Amino acid sequence: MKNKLFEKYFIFTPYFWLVLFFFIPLAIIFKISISVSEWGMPPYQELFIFENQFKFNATFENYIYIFRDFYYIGSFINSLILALISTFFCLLIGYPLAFYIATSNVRLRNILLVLVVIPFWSSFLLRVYAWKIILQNNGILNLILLNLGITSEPLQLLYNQYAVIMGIVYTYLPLMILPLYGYLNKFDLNLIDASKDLGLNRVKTFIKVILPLSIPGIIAGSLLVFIPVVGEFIIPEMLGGSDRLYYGKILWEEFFVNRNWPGASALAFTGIIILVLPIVFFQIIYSRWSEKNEI
Amino acid sequence: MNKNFLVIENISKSFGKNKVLENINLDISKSEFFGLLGSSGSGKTTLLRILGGFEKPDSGRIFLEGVDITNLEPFDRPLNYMFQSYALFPHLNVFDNLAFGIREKFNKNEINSEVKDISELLSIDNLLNRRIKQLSGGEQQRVALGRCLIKKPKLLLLDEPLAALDKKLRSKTQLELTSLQKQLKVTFVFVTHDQEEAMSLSDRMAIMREGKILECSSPEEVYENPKSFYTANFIGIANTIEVYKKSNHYFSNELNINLELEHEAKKQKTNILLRPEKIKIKSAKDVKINLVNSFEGVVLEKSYLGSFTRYEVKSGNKIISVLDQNYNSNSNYNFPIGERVLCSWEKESLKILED
Amino acid sequence: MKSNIIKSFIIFSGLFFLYFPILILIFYSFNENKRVMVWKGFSFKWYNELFKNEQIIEAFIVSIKIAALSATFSTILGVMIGYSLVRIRKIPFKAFYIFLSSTPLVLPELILGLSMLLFFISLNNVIGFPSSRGQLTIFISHVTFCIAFVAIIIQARLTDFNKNIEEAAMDLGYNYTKVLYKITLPIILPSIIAGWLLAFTISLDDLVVASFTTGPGANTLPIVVFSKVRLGLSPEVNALSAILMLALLLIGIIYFYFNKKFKH
Repeated sequence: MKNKLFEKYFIFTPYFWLVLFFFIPLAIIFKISISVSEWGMPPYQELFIFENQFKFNATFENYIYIFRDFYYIGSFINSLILALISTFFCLLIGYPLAFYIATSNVRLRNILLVLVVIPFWSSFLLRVYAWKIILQNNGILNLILLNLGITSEPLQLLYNQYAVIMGIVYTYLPLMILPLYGYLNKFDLNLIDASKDLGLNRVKTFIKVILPLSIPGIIAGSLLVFIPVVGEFIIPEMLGGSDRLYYGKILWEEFFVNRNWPGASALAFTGIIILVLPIVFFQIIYSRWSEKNEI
Repeated sequence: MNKNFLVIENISKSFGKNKVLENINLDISKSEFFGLLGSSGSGKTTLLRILGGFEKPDSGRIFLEGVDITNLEPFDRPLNYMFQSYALFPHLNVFDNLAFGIREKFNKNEINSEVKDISELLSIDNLLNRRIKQLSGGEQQRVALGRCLIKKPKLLLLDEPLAALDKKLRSKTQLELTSLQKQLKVTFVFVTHDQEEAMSLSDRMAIMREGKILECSSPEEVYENPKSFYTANFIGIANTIEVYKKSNHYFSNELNINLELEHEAKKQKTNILLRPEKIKIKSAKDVKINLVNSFEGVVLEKSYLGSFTRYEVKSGNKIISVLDQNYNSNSNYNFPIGERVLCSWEKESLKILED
Repeated sequence: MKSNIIKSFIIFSGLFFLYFPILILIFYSFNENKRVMVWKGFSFKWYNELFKNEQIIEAFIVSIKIAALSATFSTILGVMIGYSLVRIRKIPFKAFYIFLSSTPLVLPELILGLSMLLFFISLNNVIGFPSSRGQLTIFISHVTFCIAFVAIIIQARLTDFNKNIEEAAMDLGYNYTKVLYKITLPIILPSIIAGWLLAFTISLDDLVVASFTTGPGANTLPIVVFSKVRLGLSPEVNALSAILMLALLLIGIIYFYFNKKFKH
């Protein structure tokens, strides 16, 4: 059709960019993850070798290596547990906040929403750094605890898994609140009154009416927190200690310190398979489904 | 009338497996106010969108003044389309919305005078600097209309032009729209699901169902002489009675009476239509003669509607609706529920439904 | 009454939790003492030091440059994707297109950074470019993962604006290209600006991907800050935090203004 040439540019310019700079890099990770590692530069052998005859030089050694060593699996499990706990606390704090914001009057609601999201716009690194200051041995929290007589000497609050959880819950909380608010905001407040009118008390109304209707929001918010936390590197690095090793740190060290590129790639690709693909797959199916139901 | 102004020939359209239009044929005259009436899913809006050029038909052709416009893009067609949602440009004010379609054809002064003319015609000349958000529903409708009419289209397509207005405004706008169309002599083709709207606006109308046109004629003809059972029931209130041919007369099992028809029915068993206002209702105490084209029944329901009273009269297992005009405030014409009444009609009032 | 008190309490403590650390950070930035945690007196000393610190100033300029450029590129590409997904019916291998444009949203930065680095190394082995990594490679990586964020904003905006408006413009004589420039883009302009701002802050804030793809002469602000505070505290970073926090809060507010604008 005439005058529709721009549509081609619209589709293919970003297509080209993403294939080149996103898809091919992912493919390279996969390629290196099945390459034989060796000492040298680059620290792996070519996948395809031509020596008189063609040879496909692939191996699953790197994956086997990862799954045999508890050092790697353990860090993966640590990260999953960390993500689970952090998501839980984000939900615990975020849900009531989102709920009360959504049930406020329109004016207050918009102001509160902006207030909740604004910190998310300020520097991630510096917000984590703020907790480093708060949790110092002579930091504000210890000062309060000492003055209240709860403790007689400063507690070691920093450099352990609890500090990490604290930092994560703090920085990721807005990511939980936003989708929750989105769903809670959509539903009709009259439903709460209707439920009360039909004789359900506050608790039952919550369990039978409000909670089921906010499940999509809970799922969306939890995924937004859970997934990046599994791969989180900065927060454990700044606030964590040597008590727990996490996936991000292991991946970083495997690459930069041990210079084991195939190993790091195998770790990364395992992360993609476990975390990312299920969600993307789900999303594609969902968008197909909603397209079909539109017509 | 000058026929062949807009000719629609064998138009068919499917979305996936879903057949939306099947072999549509229409011939619309110049300056005609033409209605497409149907319930949702009848294909009426798809047909209008095909005329506007927003959908391409799978097969068939459209001619406007003899020119094949089937494959023209919307911006190349000498016609305009008014959307149900009005689709006003939210980032432009009323003036710029009105002037949108003539910006490239005219210079600044001409644009000003064109906008002035159309806005005075539609009495929206005091709104020109308003933003779209600041307009009421009725004002938006006028701006949408003005934005199309300023281009002086040969044909204006209107998708549910009154649906977004409240009831009171709707009847006022109905009259305005009719007089505007007669004044400008532009051909209007509009889509509606509201039978009253279709009746009061259209010179001619087509009744659509499941992608087909059931019949197409003037509102009077469609109301008085519908061809199909569906149309009879879709337009106004209808009593339909199943009758059987018997030598020289007809018989209804449901009412257990003999009937006389004006015309000969083609089939042995046929449905006939009897509009409720054609029925005369009397107390059964006064007269007791069992003629053809009448029956005796009991008043089952009654609702007083001001100028009319509507009765539901039961005879056997059949319920017949009767509209009785209250031309006399005398309570003689007022029958209580449970009263035995005699209903009768002229044989000209019985219409044979062919489908 | 009772429920109102609970409600106010929850909202208040929630906001306190969100803002307390930021306020503490700003508070300590005015501490005269070099030992961050011991209060010695109110002073602008560290702000002064900060502006004299060439390393930080230089990193700041590099970061702003990369952020502005990558926000611009990712906005252009993101608008194209958003438009394609909502308005264009026939996209070849559409599922793959959706995969490419949405996966960066959920991919941990670490994996993205690693893949970009390995890509640039491999590319260099094959075509001899880029011979070293630096601002260009950070820019490419940032564009790649910001596209998805812009695309999702544009997609949402286009989905809830009625297609009839574009059809009406066509009906009034505007062809496809003109409709795009006169109607579609002007109407979604607030979302385009919002998308740019989001991409800008994401790029400005990124540490992980930049750490992987950086090279000589391309220390971004987060990289410098991280090296200073990884193991301890730094009074200059406190001062920087206060400034950056306020600047980014401002961008956030502007973002909200544009993102809310179309929702009237």
